[in-house]
Amino acid sequence: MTNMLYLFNLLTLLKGQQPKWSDPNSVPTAQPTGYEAMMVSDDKIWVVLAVVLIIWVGILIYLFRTDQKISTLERALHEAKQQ
Amino acid sequence: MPHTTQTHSKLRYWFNGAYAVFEKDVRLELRSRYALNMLLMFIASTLFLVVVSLGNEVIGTRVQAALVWVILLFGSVIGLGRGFVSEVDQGTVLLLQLHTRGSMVYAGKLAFNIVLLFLLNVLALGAFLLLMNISVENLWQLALVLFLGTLGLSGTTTLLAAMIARTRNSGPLLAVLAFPLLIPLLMSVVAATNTILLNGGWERIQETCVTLVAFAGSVISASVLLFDYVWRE
Amino acid sequence: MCGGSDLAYNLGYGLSFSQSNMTLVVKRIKIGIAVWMTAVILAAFVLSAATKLPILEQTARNLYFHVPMWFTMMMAYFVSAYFAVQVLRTEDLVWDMKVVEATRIAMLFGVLGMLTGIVWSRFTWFLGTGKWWGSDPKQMMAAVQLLISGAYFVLRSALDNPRLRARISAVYTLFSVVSMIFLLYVLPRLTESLHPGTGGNPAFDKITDPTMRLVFYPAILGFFGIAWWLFDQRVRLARVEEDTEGFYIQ
Repeated sequence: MTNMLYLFNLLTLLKGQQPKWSDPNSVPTAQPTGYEAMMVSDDKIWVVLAVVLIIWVGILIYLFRTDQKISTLERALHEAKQQ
Repeated sequence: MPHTTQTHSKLRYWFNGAYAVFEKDVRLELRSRYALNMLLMFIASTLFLVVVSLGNEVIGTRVQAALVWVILLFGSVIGLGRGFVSEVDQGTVLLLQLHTRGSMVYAGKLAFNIVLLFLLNVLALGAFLLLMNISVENLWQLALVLFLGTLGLSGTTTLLAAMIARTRNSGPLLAVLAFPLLIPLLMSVVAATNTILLNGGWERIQETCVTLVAFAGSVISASVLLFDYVWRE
Repeated sequence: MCGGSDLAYNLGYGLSFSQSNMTLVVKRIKIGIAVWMTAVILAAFVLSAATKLPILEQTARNLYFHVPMWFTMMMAYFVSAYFAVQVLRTEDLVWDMKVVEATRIAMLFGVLGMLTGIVWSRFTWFLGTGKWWGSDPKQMMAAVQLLISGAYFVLRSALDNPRLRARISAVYTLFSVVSMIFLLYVLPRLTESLHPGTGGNPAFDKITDPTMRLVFYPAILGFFGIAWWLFDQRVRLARVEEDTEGFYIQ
């Protein structure tokens, strides 16, 4: 795990600027509207939901494609048996 | 010592072989002038396209550096793709495989590519500076970056060119294979060119030059290690 | 043409007999991964993500989901490079098949890491700007990785001879590793980043409290497990495909 952390911090290059991560100045003063307002409501927990859903859908798509491959193989085997 | 003379003659044998491949390519090129003429025309027409489409717009140094390097990248990938394909077309692969070792062929081809590419890049960059009315104070810095960039560029494309010579229709495949691998080179070379155009001082260019040397070195040594797997039947 | 049903019977019988022990172990590992990952997802939402950072707010929990994507992508990529070495060493086509599937996994997690990163940054740092793409070094890295994987598959489709295809594409994978390592070095020096530890941002351990790390590391392990699971399914499938093609479709 320390190796992983090292990889994470490998790119360390501190330039002594204001950290962009939590710089309050980079938050816009205008109130967000539309889908932005929806996403940032409830302390932005919906962003986390969106991220989790993206990963879930990605894994599902991969599973479906594996499924397709199995079906193709099954069909080929079936045809071979018929002959 | 018999041992040292033996290693010495082996080295000499290897060098002679590599030089023979290099000389053969140079002679062929001088006879047909195909790659040279084609690349000159490609670079000339691309530069003209850029100049025409820009009109009288004044562009920043970063855009200038990016434009010229993208042109050079495309030019070299188009020009170097033929290196091994022509051997396949002429049926000379077997002959080379019989008479030389893989590393000799690689070294000869690499040397030829570096010479050809550096020549062309100097011409292209000169024409670009002229057409865009850019004056550079530290020309030798630019030449150094150009040379180191050429080293990395030909180091990467030579192995890939050998790979695509084994494929069916090798047309634009080299560009697809080479560009993702050339991104670190492109980034550092564009940053260095930008610094030179801005007269940014030697220190910042020096760091990039070290990176470029390391890139060329590791790409070429990786190619030497991997070339045999591509070359042998 | 061989006798179809007999062969299929023998093949299935042989597989189930010689590999039954191994299959049982693998099955248990998979159940373990499922339980583990469920616990991680639960913990990710239940445990407190005690960051008081103004922009992040609850999205600090994305650390458990977005960051492992990148880790898994790099892991799959380096594993595929290991398989590529084996291809060159042994000339065995089984390894070639593994390179292909590992590269596919790297592509999947590269895409997921990029999409989740885009959504995350859109509603935190880019809020109100309408900006989706930030040219962040790690984003670029994932993009380059996708380009390399795409080029890998294009190269494969241009080669007909299976042995040559295995060898040449393995060379490409290994060659791309050299360039990738340079990218790891060059990118953060030339671009700015939203990621911790780079471009003036606080290092990773400064912004995460111990509770978060308690979920973060298991999450990485869990996603490694899921990646291996997806990989294992494809490899087994490809193996069956090869076996049956050898017997039936000649």
